Parts: sequence; structure tokens; C-alpha cells
Amino acid sequence: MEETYLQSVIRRFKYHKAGVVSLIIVAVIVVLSVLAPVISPYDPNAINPEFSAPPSAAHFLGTDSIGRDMLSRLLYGTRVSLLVGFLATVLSTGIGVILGLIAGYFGGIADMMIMRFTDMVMSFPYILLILVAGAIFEPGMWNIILILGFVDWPGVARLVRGNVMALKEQDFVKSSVIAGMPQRYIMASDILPNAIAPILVFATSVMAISILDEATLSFLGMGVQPPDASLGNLLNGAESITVLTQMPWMWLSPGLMIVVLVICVNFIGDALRDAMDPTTIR
Amino acid sequence: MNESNVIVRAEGLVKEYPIRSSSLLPSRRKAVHAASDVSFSLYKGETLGLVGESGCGKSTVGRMLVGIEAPTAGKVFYQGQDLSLLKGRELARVRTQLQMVFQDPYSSLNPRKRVYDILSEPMLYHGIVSRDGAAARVDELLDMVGLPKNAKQRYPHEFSGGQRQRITIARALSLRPSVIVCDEPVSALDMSIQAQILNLLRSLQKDLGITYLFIAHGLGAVHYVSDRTAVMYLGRIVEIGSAADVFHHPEHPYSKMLLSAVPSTDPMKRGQEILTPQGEVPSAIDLPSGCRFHDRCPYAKDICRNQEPLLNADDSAPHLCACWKVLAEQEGRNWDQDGEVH
Repeated sequence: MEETYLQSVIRRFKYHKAGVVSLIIVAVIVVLSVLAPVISPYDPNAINPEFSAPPSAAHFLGTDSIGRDMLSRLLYGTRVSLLVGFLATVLSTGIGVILGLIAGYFGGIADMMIMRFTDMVMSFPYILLILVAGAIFEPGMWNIILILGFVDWPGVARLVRGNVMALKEQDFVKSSVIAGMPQRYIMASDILPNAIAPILVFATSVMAISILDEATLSFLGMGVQPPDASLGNLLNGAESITVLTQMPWMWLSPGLMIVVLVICVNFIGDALRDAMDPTTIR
Repeated sequence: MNESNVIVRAEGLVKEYPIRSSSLLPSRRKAVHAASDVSFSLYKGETLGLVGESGCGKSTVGRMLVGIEAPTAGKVFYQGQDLSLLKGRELARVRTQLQMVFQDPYSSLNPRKRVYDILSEPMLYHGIVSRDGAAARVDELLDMVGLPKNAKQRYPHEFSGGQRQRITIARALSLRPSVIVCDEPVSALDMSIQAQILNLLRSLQKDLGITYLFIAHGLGAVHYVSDRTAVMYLGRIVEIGSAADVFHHPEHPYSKMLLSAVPSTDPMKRGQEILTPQGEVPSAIDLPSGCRFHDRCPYAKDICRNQEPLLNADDSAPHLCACWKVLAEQEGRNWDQDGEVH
């Protein structure tokens, strides 16, 4: 029995060492953050008697300026950041795929209108857009997800549109038209499955950007609101020079976590790109 | 050949692709003339070969026939029904009767689907087989095109070019069509495989009574499979007749040149004069005036430069040719001494 497409993707993903290592690291982080309620040593919002304590046996990563356990907050914060990154990516990819599919498949007026709208969203200074949206809607985790989801889709839409336009001219799509198959079949069965690889690769970079954007927004106070922890608002403390210079444990661990997550997600994307490249599929 | 045997009729098919002018100033709208006023009939059970050099519009004609290219003007009739008047379900049903085999067997199969799904999904959608009967029908189709039963479990990339072309033929057959447009079905294949596929197409025709429009630029293949042959040049059919007539007694100067360019396997015929057309194929955007072949034709006269010779619309004639010289000779005039009186 010949290997399926999925098997060959997995086989070739394994060649990409950095991708495999990144996948393991991300998997561990995901498991830890999902298990946060079980493994956290303290309630993330509980105030302990030791304020701004450096790492110790009782508090592995120390405590923050009002005495909350940094390790517990880091676990809960990672959980929130991953959730925001994942859901925002799902939302923006969903919007982008639908709009790109319509624009690329039907062309003409639909294409023109969708792509001009896409250009408009793309040309907006988008940190400002997020800030304005954050100001209009009440800041909070769900709103951050919605805002990021509605801002990050233009790249996906353009990518999907280009792919769909190329696929539409392929003979196997033409043969479905000749066979009298309905458009929903052609889009769902001929076009989307063949466009999925670049979408997945692109989605990983959207996820990395979403995690960074969440951190930026929360750092600016427009994101996840305290006392809930997120990787971004954990960095809030670093706004103070004293904290920045004297108490590295308060910002080093969330900062490192962001860096590790973003780098790993990008490596996974790289590995996926190589593994799913249609030109190397035998 | 009487009218009741006509299964597909192309009537005055025109396809023009407008060119967007890059300047901001308004200019005369230009277009690529891929096909101009192409009319012909396909008779039940025959193979009509359509030949011509690259870019002459032969594929465009085939694509208009199966409905993946909308004609700029003209109509396609299937058993007397005007396809442009059909919609929705009805159109889908008629379309199943007109299938196509593509040139490139690598891009004509969905790489993400198993052969079983490629073959069964259209049949299930059109209710040609029941869910229970699909497997048996797929086996039958694979057997018809000479592939083993276990092929249905596999993906297209696991097959060679010739095998893939067999799968596309099976797919075309799956909807029980009466007409198959073969758009250069063997051009992308090895010589030895070409013969296998041509023989397969012929034996399927014998068994199932399918009608083919066989588009190719390989004259050998066309001669081998076709009953009648049409020669296209720059978007027009310049000569149409029985394969024997067109291949052994070509009338149009272009047909003669095309045929004399085929290398001969007969050593006695080597060294015979080869008529080579002068110059290049003119642009399909700025068509030559008069006869489209005149600036490459050694016999061209003023009438050729000014008036376009048209194919006699009378389809019942066994051999038609759009050429002033041929017309003059048919009327008993001597072309060389005919002067410039027209």
C-alpha cells in the first residue's frame, strides 16, 4: 500500500529538525498551560505575603509587585495568550479563506469589491485600528480575539485568491465543470483541498503575529484586563525602570515565553512549508 | 451523411479574447481572434480530426463544444438542442453527454483524490449509478481502459502518464457520453504509449459507438484515427473532407504544405519537394485582409488579398475547401492565366 498524502507530509516534516524540536516545545507548553489549574502551585490572583520576591523554593519564578506567584501567572497567562493566538488565527483564516475563495472563483465585480476592501484594511495603520477598536469595545480577551481576527485576514484572502485563480484554470477543475458538477462541489472538493497547504503555512505565521499583537495590546492596557494574566500584561511591570533593572524575574519569564512561542511557531510553519510543498510531492 | 445522423452541430462559432489597452487614451478595441465563424457537424459514431498548427484555435473550438469556453458568437447544438438556451439541471444533464479528454494527464486529475472518487463522484451526483452499484461500475470502467482493479485505491501521482490518460478516458466514459472531445490526448505521451492510447480510443468507439472530435497537431495520429478531417488555419476551417481525401488529395495550399512537412517513412518518397510556407504565422490580433493565408501562399493574387474565401456552407458536399484558386479550378478556369479580373 502506497503512503497517503498525510503520511508523506509527516515523513518530510521529520527532516526539518528545528521544526520537530519546535513542535515538541510548543506541545509541552500547550499541555502545561492547559493543565494550569492542576499544576499551578498557587492561585494566580492570590496575594502572598512576599512582595517582589526573587525566585525561591516557595516561588520558583518569584512574585510580582503585589505578591502574586509568577509561575502560576505565567502558566495562566500562556494559556490565555495561546487561546487568543489560536482563536484569532482561526477567525482571520476563516474570513480570509471565504473572501479569497469568492473573489478568486467568481472574479469580476465580486473580486473587485472584495480586493479593494482588502486593500483598504491592509493600508490602515493597524495598531491604531486595534487601539481605536479596543477603545470603542470594552477591552477583554474575547474582544481581543475578535479585533485581531478581523484585522489579520487580508493576507490570507490575497493568498487564497491567487491560489484559487490558478487552480480554477487547471484541467481537473475544468473536467468537473464538463461533468456538470455543481459549483459547491467544485469549490469544496476540487479547489479548497488543493489550496489547503499554503493556507496552513500562512496560518502559522498569522498565529505568531497574533500572539505578538496580543502581547502588544495587553502591554498597552488595551488587551486582556488585570487581574487576568496574559503574556502581554505580565510585561506591564517592566514599564517601571526599577523593575526593568532590578527585578528581571518579573518580566524575563513572560518575555522569554513570547520569544520561544513565536520562534517555535515560525519554525513549525517553515517545516510545514517544506513538507507540504506540492512541487516536491511525488 | 444525412441530417438525422448529426449529433453535434457547431454553427458559426466565434471566439475573441479582448485585449485590454494599456494606455489611458481610448483606442480601438483589439482582440485575439481565436476562432472565426467555425461551422461543422459531427456525425454519430464518426471521428472528426481537427488539425492545424499551434495557436490556430483548434483547442478553443473543442472547449466551446464542451462548454468550458463561452462562444463570442455562434451556437452549439446537441441533437438539435441549442446549448445556450439550456440552464441548470437540464444543461448539466446534456453536458454529461459531451465529455473531454485533456492533453496533459498530469494536470487533469485532482491530486488529492483516489481514482475511485474521481470516477464515482460524478456518476453518483448524476444518479447514473446507485451507491451500492458504484464499486462494480468503477471496476468495469477500469477494465474497459485496461487498468487493474486495485488502481481505484490509489492516487493519481502513483501512475505513469499513459496510465493517467487511461484514467481520464475512464472518467470521460463514466457518464456514458455520446461525444468525447479529445484535445491532443496523446501529444504529451511517449511514442509507444501514444499507439496504445489511440488503439484504446478506437476500440472503445467500436464497442460503445462514441463520436470523437479528435484535436491534434500530430498528423500521423489524426490520419490513423479519423474518418473525416478538418484543417484549421488562424481561426478558420480552410478544408474539410474525408480523411482519405484530405490526406491523399489535399486541395488547399495550406493543407498541402502541412502534409508535405510530415516526414515520410518511405525511402522512395524522400527527396521529394517539400512545400514550406513562407514567413511566419500572422498575428491573430491583426488578421491579414482577404484570405488569411495569402501572405504565405505562393499562388496568392489580388482577390486573395482583398476578399476572404469562405467555406461553402453546404455541408453535404464530401470535400470543402476555402480557396479562390481551388474554386477557379473547379470552375474550369486556369488560375495562372486567370489574370486579375476579379
